[in-house]
Amino acid sequence: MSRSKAALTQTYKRADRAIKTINLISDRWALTVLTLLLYNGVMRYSELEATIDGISPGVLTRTLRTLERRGLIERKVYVEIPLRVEYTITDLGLSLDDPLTALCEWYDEHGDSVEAAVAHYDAKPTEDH
Amino acid sequence: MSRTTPEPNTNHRIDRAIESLALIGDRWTIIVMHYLRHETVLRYGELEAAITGISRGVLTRTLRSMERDGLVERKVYPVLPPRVEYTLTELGLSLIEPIIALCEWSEANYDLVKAARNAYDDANGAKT
Repeated sequence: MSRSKAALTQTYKRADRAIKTINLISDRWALTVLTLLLYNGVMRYSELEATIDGISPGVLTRTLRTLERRGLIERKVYVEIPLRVEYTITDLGLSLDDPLTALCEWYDEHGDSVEAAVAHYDAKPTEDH
Repeated sequence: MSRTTPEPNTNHRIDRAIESLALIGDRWTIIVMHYLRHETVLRYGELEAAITGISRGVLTRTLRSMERDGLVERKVYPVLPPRVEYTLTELGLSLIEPIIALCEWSEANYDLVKAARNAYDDANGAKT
């Protein structure tokens, strides 16, 4: 096999690029907030808190900050009484819809095959490499 | 906006995305997939020689978990010395496309993420 060093570097670069995107979306809470905002466009803090089962205010706040820092959502504060804080999906966040949909569709189509493969593998007697 | 109407399939969608991400969220897995995609069939020794920086233990573990998930097929030929070959399964091949979608997103947008981070840190006194 003849893989040049340049090709190898290219492969590593591609892998790192994929991993960078994966790191942005592989946290369950981040993905939940992102998915909700992808569907709803705008949500208040209190709406997010009421909608997401099992999230603590601390985790929600941290998740929102992380997503804001990454430029995927925008936080808007309206100076009224009581104070209104809204989160919207940014164009950058919106652009993640396509790769996310690709992953979901892949799982729809192939998730059963993965489960079957895992069950089959686990049922085999162990052997050495 | 009145009471939020969560899209009924939101949770299901999240689960599916998380499950697929778990399959490919490891750098070595993506690298092995990339090699097997180009070379079709590779022996263990060839993979080991090609992927610099991977240790034997990590390569073996990566291949096992990919085999378990049904992404690669391992064939052992009873010759001396034993020959072990790996190929991508149909299932593994089908994952190439979503991986490419992730790569392409990163290529097109990751600079924007970096810029957003810097702007956020500047505005918030550089706390992480």
